[in-house]
Amino acid sequence: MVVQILAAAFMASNSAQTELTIYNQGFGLVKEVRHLTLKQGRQAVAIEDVASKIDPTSVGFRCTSDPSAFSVLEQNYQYDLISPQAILNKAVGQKIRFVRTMGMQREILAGTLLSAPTAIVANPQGGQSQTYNGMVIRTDDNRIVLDPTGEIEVDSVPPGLISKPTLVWDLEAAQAGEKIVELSYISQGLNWSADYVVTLNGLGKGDMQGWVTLNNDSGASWENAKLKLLAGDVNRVMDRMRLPEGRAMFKSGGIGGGGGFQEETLFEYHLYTLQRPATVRNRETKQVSLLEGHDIPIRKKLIVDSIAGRYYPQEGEVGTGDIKPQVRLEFVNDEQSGLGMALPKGKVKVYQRDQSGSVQLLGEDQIDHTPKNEKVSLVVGKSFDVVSSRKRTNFTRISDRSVRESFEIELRNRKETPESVYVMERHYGDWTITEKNRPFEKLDSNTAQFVVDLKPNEVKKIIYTVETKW
Amino acid sequence: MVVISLIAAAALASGPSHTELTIYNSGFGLVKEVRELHFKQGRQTLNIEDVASLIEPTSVSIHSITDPNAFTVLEQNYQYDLINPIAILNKSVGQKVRFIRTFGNQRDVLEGTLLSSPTAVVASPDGHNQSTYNGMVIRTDDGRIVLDPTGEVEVKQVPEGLISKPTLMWDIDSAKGGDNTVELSYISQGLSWNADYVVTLDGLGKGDLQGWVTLTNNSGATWENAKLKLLAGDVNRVQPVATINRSMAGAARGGGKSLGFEEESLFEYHLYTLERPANVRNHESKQLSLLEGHDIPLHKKLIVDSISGSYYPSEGEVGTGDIKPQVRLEFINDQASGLGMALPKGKVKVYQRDKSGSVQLLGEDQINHTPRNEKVSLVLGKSFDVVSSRKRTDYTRINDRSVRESFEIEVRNRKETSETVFVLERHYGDWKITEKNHDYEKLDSNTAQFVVELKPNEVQKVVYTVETKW
Repeated sequence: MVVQILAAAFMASNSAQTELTIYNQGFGLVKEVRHLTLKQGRQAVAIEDVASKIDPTSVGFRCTSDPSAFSVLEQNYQYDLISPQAILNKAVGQKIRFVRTMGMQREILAGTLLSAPTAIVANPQGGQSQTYNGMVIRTDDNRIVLDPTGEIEVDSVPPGLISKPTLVWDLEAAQAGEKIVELSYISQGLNWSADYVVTLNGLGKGDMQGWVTLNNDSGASWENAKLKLLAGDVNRVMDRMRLPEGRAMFKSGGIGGGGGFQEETLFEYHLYTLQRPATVRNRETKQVSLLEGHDIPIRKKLIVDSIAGRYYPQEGEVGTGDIKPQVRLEFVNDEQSGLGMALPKGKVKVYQRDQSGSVQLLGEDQIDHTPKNEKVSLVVGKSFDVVSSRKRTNFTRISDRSVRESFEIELRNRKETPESVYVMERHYGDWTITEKNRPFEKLDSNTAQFVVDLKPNEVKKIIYTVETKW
Repeated sequence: MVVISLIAAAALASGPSHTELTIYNSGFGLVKEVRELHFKQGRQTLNIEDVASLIEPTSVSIHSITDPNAFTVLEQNYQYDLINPIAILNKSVGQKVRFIRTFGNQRDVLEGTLLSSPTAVVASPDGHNQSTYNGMVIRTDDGRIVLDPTGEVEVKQVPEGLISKPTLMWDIDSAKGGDNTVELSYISQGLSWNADYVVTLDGLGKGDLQGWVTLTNNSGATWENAKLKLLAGDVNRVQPVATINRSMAGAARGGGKSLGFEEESLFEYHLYTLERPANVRNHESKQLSLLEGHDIPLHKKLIVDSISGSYYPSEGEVGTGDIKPQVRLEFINDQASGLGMALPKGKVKVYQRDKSGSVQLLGEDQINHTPRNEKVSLVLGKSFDVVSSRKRTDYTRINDRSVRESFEIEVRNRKETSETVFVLERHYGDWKITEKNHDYEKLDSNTAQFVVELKPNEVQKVVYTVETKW
C-alpha cells in the first residue's frame, strides 16, 4: 500500500528557510520551511534530502500557513536501500539475466531466480540466523544452474526499495493548494564548542578572545541557514559520545559589520543567535568570533603538590623525590577584570610573545561552564627552572594508633626573578602539625598549604613534623 | 549555491613569504606564516590550501600586520569533504554514470542512472546511525537494471561541495581594497624535537658535553627558509598527543656555549631560536648542534642498593645474595663545572677513549629538564670488578610488634685502584640501628647510607643490627 503511495508521491521542494540550533552535546535541531502543493484527500509526501544522521523518532511536521490544512496519518522513515543484494533477495521468482563474455562473444544466460543470495531462517528454538545461500536459477529450457557467473541484470527494481533514506508522510488534506510546512528533526553529527585564546603581555595582564567552533559531520549541508547555538547541559535519554560546550558572551555588535551573536536566556540555558545567515557544509569546521576581553589581570601560581591525585597515600615512598611545580594561571571572571560574562565550557590556549615579538603557545587547559564573578584556574604546564625535592626524614611509632613523621621539602629557584611557590602537603586521618619552620594554612581536613617566597637563585626548605592518629 | 560561487570566485592566497616554526617537545608545532594578500573592498572569501595536513583546525588564527583594522573575520572554516570515488558516487545518485570496459579487444560502454550509492548512513529508531556498504545498481536507458556493473567509472562532473585538499576558508569583510601582509598561525601535529647529549670522559675525572637537537617533521608540510624555534618545557595540552616525545634542547648561559641557537626564558619555559633560517621538509629528521661544555668535573659513584625498586620488602630473603653495584656518573650543571645552562630533557650517551684512542660507549641514560645549578645523575651500568654479598645473619622476635635483625654486607674491591662504595640499606616502619661497625647517615626515614672506602684488592664488611617496631 505504502509502496503505491510512494510511487504517487512527489518530492517536497527544497528548503526555503532553514534554522539550525546546535547543542553542545553533539546534536542539532534542524527546522526547514518547505513549500508543498497538495491535492485534496489522502496522499504521500516524501522528503529524501535530510541529514543522513537523522534521529527518525524526532521528526516533526506541521503546516505553518494553515494549521488545519492536513492531518498526518502516518510518518515513516524508510531505509530499505537499493543494493545488488537487496534487489536479488527480493527478485526470487523473477526473471534474471547473467551477461558474460566467452572469447569475443557475449552470452546471455536467462532464467528465473530460485534462491535469494542471503536469507534469514528461523530455527525451532525460536532464534533466527542469517544464511548465505548463493544463487540458483532455472533457465527457460528447464536446466537448473547453480551459482551462475556474469554481470547480473534484472528487469525492474523490486517495489519498496529506495535510493536514499527517505521520510514519507501519509497525509489527509482538507483541500488542495500550496502549503508552507515546517519540518523539524534532530540530527547527530552536529556539535559546537567554545575555544579561547589568552595572550599574556608578560606583565601580569592578558587579553582573551573567545571563538565558537562548529563541526558538521551530519551528512547534510545547509545554505544560508539561521544559526543558533544552545549552551547548557541538556539531558537526553541516550547520551551521545561527546559532551559539549557552553555559552559565550558576544562581542557587542558582533564582528565588524557582519553581525555577531545575540544572546538570550532560554529556560535554564542560554541561546545564541548569529545575526547573519550562515552556510554550514557537510564535513566542515567553522569558527565564529564570540567575545573579547582586554587587560585582564592574570596571576601565575606555582604549586608543589606531591601526592595530588592519589586518594589515600600509603606508608613508604609516596610523594618523595623530585617534583616539578605545576604552573597555574588564575583570573576572576568579573567586570573589574574586563570580563564578567558567562564563559561556556571549552578549551583555553595561552600564548605569550617572545623577545622577537612572535607569539608562542604556553599551554592549554579546559574550563567548565563559568558564570560571571567566578574564578578561572588554568593548568598551563610545569616549571622548568623552579624545582623541589621532598623526603620524609623520620618516622616514629608513638602508640598502636598513632605515628609521628617529619618531612623536608627543599625548593630551589634557578631563575633570575623572584617566585612564590605554594606547597600542598596532604595528610589523612586525624593529624596535627607539631613542629614547623614556617607558617601554614589548613585548606581542608587533608591539606596544609605553605607559601614560600623565593628570591632569585634562592634555595629554601620547609621542615615540619606531623602526628597522625587513627 | 551562493557560497559555492563565492568559492569559485575566491582567490587562492599566495604561498607564505616568511615562516616561523616553534616546535614543542611534546610532539606538536606552532606555525606562523606571513603572506601577501590582495583584498578588494567588502565581503569576500579567502582560501588557503597549502597548510600542514595534521593541522588542528581550532587553533587557526589570522590577522593583518600592515593594518590590524584592515579586515574583520566573520567566519573561519576548515573544509575536509574531500574528493574521492566513493564520495563522488555517493553524491551522484540519480545522475548519469558510465562504465567503460573492454570486451575482447573492443571497448564497451554501459551507461545508466545510478540508483544506489556505494555506502550510506542509515539511522535506526533508537537514535544510532550505521554506515552500510551497498554496492551499485544502475538503470540503463533501455530500462534494464544492472547490478554491480564492472568497468572504469565515469561521471559528468564532480558534485558540488567536494574539494581536492583540506582547505582553510575565511569569510572576510575588508574596510578597503589593497595589498595586505597577514600573519596566519596554527598548531600542527607531527612536529617534535628532542635533545641528545654526548659526554666524552677523559678518564681522569673530567669530561666534555655536547648537546644536539633532533627534529622530526611528519606534519605533511614542508617549510623553506623558516625561522626555527624550539620550546623546552612541560606544556599542558587538553588532549594528549598520541606520540609522547622525550626531548628538548638546551641553550647556554654561563660557562657552556650554545651553538647557533639563541636562548631566552619565556614564561616558565626556555625558548631556543636558531639564528639562521632552516629548511624543514616533510618526512625529515634533522640534527642541529645545540650546546657544548668542556672540562666538566664528573664523579663516579658505586652504589649497592639491595632492595631498590622493590617497593615494600616482605620478611624473608629480600635483598640478599650477590649484588653488583650500580655505576652512576654525577656532575653539577653550574658555571664552575663549565656548564650552568638549562639542559632540556633527553638521552645522554657517555663515551670514553680506550688505550688505542678510539671511543667506546660506557652507557646511556635519560635526563629530565634540568635547570642550571642542579645536579645531574646518570645511571651508566653495573660494576664488573667491585662486588658485594649481603645476608641477614640473625632474626629475633622481641614482642608482637617488634623484631631485631642483623645484616652483614661484604664489599670486595677486585681492582688495582681504590674505590668508594655507597651502601644503601632500606628499612620500613619505626626502625633504629642499635649496633654497627661503620658509621652511617640517615638519608630519609627509610634509608641508611654506609660509605665504605676500599683500597685496591681490599675486602670490607658492614655489620649492623636494627630493631623495628610497627
